[in-house]
Amino acid sequence: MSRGDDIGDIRRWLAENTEGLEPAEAEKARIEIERHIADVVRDRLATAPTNPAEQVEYYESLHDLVADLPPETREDLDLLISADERMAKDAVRMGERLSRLRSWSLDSWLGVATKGICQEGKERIREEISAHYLDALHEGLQQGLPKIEAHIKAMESLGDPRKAAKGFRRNYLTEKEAKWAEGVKRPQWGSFWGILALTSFCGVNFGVRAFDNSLAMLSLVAFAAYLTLYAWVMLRVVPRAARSGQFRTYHRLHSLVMLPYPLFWVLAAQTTGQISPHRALLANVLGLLFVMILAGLGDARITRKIHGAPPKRRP
Amino acid sequence: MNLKGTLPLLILHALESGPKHGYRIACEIKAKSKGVLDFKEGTLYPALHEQENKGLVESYEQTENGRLRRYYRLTEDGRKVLAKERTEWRSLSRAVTHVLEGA
Repeated sequence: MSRGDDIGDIRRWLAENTEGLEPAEAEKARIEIERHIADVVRDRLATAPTNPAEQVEYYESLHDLVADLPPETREDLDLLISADERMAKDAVRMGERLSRLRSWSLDSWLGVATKGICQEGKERIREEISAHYLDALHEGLQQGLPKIEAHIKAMESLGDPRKAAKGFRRNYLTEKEAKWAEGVKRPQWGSFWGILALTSFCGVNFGVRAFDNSLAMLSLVAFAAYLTLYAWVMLRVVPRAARSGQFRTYHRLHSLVMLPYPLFWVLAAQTTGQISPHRALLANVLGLLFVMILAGLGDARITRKIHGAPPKRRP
Repeated sequence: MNLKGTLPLLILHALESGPKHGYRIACEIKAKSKGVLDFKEGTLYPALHEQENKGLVESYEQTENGRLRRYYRLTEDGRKVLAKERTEWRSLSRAVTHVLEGA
């Protein structure tokens, strides 16, 4: 019968092969068995699992394997097994820490946490988080931790950068929003002159052809109101982001669709002699109001981000 | 432990005793809670900046040990909100305790 590698097999083999032997022979067999068990233990240590969940059971089975050996042999093997177990656990722990370390250097943490945030916000967050990191690092070093451990602990104290990123985006302008806010600080004269020229052209046509047409007059008044509203939104000089860049963006689209209408009225009037632009004007004014409401919602969000904080004061 | 919901109150409370920077706020909350409340969820600074946007705290820069630090302090509005939320929290806490002990 083979002695095998399982403790049951070894014990059975020992019982079967030492029964009735002379004491000297039995002792010789016992020594051989001990050597065999030691070899089995060493072989098994060389192939210990790397999965932490399996390691506990594995090392327990090795301790069981040597449990019945004489104390002097068992103690040596127990020490060997325990040392290997510690090394395996340390390797797992170090692997986890190295993995975390690779994932989150301070720069990579900041890169994730401030992704999409405008430059101004990025700089403030970087300054504050770096100071936090240095404080935590120094504290770890003062406690006697090795530098690598102190770094890991400091990074852990910053928390999950992905969750931080969500929070930061609620409080800071994104790059796109900052670009919008920057672009609307000045009056939009170009669009204004374009609309004014078009209105004047229409007005002259109305005046020449149909000043007795009350509906046309009413439409002209409505268009003047539209122009005034547009001028108020686009030309007033306001604090940053009090007029959202979204308005400008939406309005370009709106203008593209709506502004040709007055030209159609003029063309229609020239060919038919009838001027009835009121429906088109109504659609135009309603369209502008719709754009203003949409932009206003976004504007409120951006303005809160910029102007929500009180002015910074030194103590 | 998840700090969501209670973090603004804890931040305001930590600043009641005087201006502090973010790391000091985190340490104080962790120490006073005997390590139960920490900021591994990555929420301290977003929450601080949100309180600042709401006008409950204000920040300023100050040099400490040769390094520029951003300190936070309570505003008058912050003190009022702290007093209100503290009262509400105590009331809620008592109510929950009554319910749990009653069960």
